[in-house]
Amino acid sequence: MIRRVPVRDATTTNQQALLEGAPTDLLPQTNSVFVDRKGNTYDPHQDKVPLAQLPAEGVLELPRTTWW
Amino acid sequence: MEEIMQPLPVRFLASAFSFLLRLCAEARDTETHAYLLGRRHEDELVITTVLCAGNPVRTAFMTRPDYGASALAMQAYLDRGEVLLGEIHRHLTLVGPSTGDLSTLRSIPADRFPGYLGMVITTFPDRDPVITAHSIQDDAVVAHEVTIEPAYPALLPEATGALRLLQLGVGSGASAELPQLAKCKFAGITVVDHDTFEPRNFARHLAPPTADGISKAAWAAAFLRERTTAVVESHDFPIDASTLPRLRDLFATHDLINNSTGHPPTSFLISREAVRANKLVFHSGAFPKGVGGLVFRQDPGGACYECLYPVGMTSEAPAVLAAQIKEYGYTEEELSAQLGLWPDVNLIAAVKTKLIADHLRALDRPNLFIVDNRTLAITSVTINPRTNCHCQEEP
Repeated sequence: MIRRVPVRDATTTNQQALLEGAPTDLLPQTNSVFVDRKGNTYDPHQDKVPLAQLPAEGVLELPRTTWW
Repeated sequence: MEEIMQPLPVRFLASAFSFLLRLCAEARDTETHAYLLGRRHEDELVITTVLCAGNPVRTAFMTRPDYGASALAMQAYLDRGEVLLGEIHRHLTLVGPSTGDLSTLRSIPADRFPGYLGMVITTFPDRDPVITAHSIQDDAVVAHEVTIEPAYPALLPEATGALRLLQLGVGSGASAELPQLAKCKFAGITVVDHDTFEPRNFARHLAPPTADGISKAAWAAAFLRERTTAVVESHDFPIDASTLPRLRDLFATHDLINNSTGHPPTSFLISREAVRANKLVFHSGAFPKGVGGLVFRQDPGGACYECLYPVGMTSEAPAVLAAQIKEYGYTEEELSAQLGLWPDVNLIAAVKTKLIADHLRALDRPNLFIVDNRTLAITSVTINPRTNCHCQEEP
């Protein structure tokens, strides 16, 4: 079974990406943070995040940033 | 081949910038962070929203967003069509991005966040903040020019600030014009009038009854000084043949003339002097019984006031002058008895100051506006010089 999670692209309008994979797959360790509609944060850089953890209604992707 | 991104100018809307300044002030001695949302155009990036939500990490040396709270707060802006353009953080002293900031900017996934802005606002206790904007393109750091949009773009050109206005007459009509003219940011305004206030004036003049007995020119100058950056002068003398040398001196040192005397013989004299000196004049007047009024722009080389009223200034005999005043409108005595005339006068004054402002903005307008106070209609027409008018004679 393939799981598809919509990812809202905040930098453009009317575009949406998809995270695809088996429910057991982990989120790729890109330097992004994913936030669901309840404000829960998923940071694949810090934790191993199974795709199954993400809500089906989708997440918003933000760059993972620390400014000095 | 991938398109090469040019450094696009970044423009802050005043409201967004104002919020950013407030955010910096509240952060006191720490760095602080905000997301930047707005519109991405082909030729510029416009920041309409500065968003700081939740509890971002704020220390003296670093800051980090509250992702969860920010993402929730951001949804509404994204839903209405704004896009995430980048982030801004505050530096206390260092201008521009630090080495660490550039590392962070380079670490942002370029395929997911192309052209993502890393902006820095550096604040100082004793001078204006400095703002920088950078992004990464093809692994190179690109610097963007940053501008702040004024809260209200100026409608009048900067050249207005070099102009000097000669205000002739400060009766009731002029007193309705002065509050507006004061805001035009002229370099100078010079007021000429020879009357002093009497109790009968106050039913139709902006001046308060406490001005009784005061020179109208002096009152107008004081009124203007409280409301304008222009250098204000006042002169107390009658405008007639005996004072022509003084009037001519003032014409020579002023760029535009506002004739608010409402007095036909005086207006003829002003008109003739304007033709001679090649000056621009705005005239106004009320029709008999206040049923309406006119506003007329006398352009250099164009139709003059006498092109409108071909009665000419042929005599200074009291009987002739009285007849002209009667033909023009109310006498002073009739005016003083007309309670309720003030709004009618104001309407004419508003049209006149609008015509002056439009002239400053180089808008193409007819030169004559007729105000009908009975129907509240304003009609306009362009008047050409009369062929037999003195203004068309060779100097």
